[in-house]
Amino acid sequence: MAKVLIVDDAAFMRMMLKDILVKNGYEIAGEATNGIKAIEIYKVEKPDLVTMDITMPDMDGIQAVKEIKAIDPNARIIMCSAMGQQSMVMDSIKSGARDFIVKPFQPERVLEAVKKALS
Amino acid sequence: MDMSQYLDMFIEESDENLQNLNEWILELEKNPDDKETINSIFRAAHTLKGMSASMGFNDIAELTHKMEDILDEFRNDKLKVNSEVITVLFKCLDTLEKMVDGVRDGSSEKTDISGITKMLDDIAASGNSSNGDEAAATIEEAPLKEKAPSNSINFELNVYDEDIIKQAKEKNYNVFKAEVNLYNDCKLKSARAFLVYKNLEESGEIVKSIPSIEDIEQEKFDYSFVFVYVTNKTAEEVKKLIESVSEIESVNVSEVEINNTEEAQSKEAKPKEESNNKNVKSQPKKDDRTSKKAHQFVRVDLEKMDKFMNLVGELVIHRTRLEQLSSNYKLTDLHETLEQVGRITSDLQDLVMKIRMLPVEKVFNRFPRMIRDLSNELGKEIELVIKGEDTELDRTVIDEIGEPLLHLIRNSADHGIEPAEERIKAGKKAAGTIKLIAYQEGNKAIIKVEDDGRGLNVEKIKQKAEKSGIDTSGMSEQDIKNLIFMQGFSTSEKVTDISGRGVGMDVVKTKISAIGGTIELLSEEGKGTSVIIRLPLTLSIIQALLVKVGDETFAISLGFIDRVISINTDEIKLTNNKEVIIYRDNVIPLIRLSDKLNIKGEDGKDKFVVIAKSGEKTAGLLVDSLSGQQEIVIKNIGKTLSGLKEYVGATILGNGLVTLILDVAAIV
Repeated sequence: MAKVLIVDDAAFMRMMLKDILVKNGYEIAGEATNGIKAIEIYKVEKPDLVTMDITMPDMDGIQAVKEIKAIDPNARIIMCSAMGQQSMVMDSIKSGARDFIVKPFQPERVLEAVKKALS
Repeated sequence: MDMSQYLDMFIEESDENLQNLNEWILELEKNPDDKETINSIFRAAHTLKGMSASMGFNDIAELTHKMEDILDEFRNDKLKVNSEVITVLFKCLDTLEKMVDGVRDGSSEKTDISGITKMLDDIAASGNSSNGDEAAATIEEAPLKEKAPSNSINFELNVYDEDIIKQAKEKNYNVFKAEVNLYNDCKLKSARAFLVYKNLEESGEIVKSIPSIEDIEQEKFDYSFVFVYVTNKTAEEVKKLIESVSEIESVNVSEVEINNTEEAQSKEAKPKEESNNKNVKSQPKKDDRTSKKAHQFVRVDLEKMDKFMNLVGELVIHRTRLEQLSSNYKLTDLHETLEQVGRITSDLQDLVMKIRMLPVEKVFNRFPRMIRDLSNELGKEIELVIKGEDTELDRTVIDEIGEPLLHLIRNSADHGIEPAEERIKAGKKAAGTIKLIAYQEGNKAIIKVEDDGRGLNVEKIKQKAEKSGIDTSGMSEQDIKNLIFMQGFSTSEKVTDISGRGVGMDVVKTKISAIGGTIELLSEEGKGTSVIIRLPLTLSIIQALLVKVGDETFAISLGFIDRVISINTDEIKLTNNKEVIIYRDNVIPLIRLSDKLNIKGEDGKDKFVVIAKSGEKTAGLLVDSLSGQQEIVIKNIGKTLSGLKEYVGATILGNGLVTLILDVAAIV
């Protein structure tokens, strides 16, 4: 089963995503609270997919996308964004993100995006 | 919107379309029932209309619109093409050319098109057409609009879009119209659409988007957007690509077919036109065009090109200097490197010359129309055969060659080709033929203008010459024929509007010499005349002989030099108080360069004579010594010294010495 790395500085959001994914048979490769940690875990675990929050301390999601893409050009990353982050989403798409989901999360939307990103 | 940035493009494309119109109308005259040609004319007029309307040149748009009206009548068999129609179409073309020229010159003067539109109206009225305007309105709409089914987005392709799509299709790309509907509670729609576009940009190009990309980025759209996508992927693959993005309700991908009927017809038309043997001249052009389209072009300012050429010239000069230094100091390492540099600079030189080259087609393609007009005017049947129009020449030569050729062709049509009765009596076919042939020979380009007319009448020229006080005794026939190159010499008994104003051949000759070319005349009475023009491929880098007079070194272009001989000054003879030398039984006038240029020459009797030819004049230039042959770059000597008639320019030699280049034509 596909392994997913969840990156978000809010534990609540990580939890929620984790629940949605695990319930639907995905394996969690790890959780990170910022971009730097996300890169560290990515290198070790080589997850099939990353869900990446945009606004995070230390290193934000957009920078993390760039660096992960630099390590692995085939990395599949879905951005987790909120309303009003349109331009940041576009920036992350330019940096190589596959898709994005918008908070508040609706489980079926999350799953649709994950499925499509993995296909 | 500021349209000025599109002006150059507009003018260039208009010129192209006008030229095409010219060819097609000629073609139509030959085959008045050829629907494909009418369609081509229609399309060119339509394109012009679209362009000029976008640019705000309403009079051009109006006239082309009227043309479309008429052409549509022909397409629908409501009217028949006759010679009167062709004449009016040509008049339209002339008017359009004038208007485009006006745009080019930036004149705000409004061209009066009421006369020509009246003529068009008259043609329309002469048919049994019920309502021309309505017909025009429908064709206007039909090919342009394509309603998106099941969608409220009004999807229109303009002329430019159509053009892009056509080009893409010619290159075997697929062109799809895709309609994407997002979930109706989708958030960050802009980013969503952006993601779709980004996925697609990786394997194709979005050529049109409705709403526009800007509007999409500003979220000025509902949950649907439509776009035209050029790609080499299949519809299925495109659909998959779009669907790989989440929150998409539905995707509808369909093949774009613009001007369905026209497209199909023109595809059919091509092979037909090509199999048409009569149409010798337009064929190669078409082939050429299709092959050209496969290449990509960059438009470059000619001034920049000249600068580039100049810089390469400088490079050549300094390379030669370095070479000289390295051989002076016998530096082997440097010498090897310089050899490489030498190769590269030669390649660079070749390349820059090639970049400046243009096919003579640019000049030739105005002649078919001219011949048509001339044969109408003169009441003679004349056929023009053009060959080798893809021969390339330097741009500056191209610009200069048009006028002399025009003279020559007019001469052939007017004086050369006989009236039909006379031709039949002489056992020739009624229609005269003028051939315009170009080809490359070594480092020269040759252009021939041949006619199968009556040829030069030596007796007549002789009489005329004697009347003007020229002694023709002892002149060979060829010499007599060559008299027509003399100033003010015209043998035609009546001065016509076309040629024979006495400024013909000498002007041609002067012009050709000015661009470093030579002209030769072959004529046989009763059989025809052929004028052969030899032109340099390029003007700014020449092979030259370096000669010394006293302490000064001069360069003489090899193009003028017949041969070089060494003489003893005692061999110089005097005739009529002028110095001459006898070489192979020819008396050649001698010019002492030291006297001519006011330089103190070397003493001593062993000298050299450079026998130079300029046109029909030959002279020996007496110089002290020779210092070898070299490739030199001609540089202007600047305004201050422009009064010096004896020099065409200057160059810098390998040793850094500035050397003047003699203008043989002016000295001899």
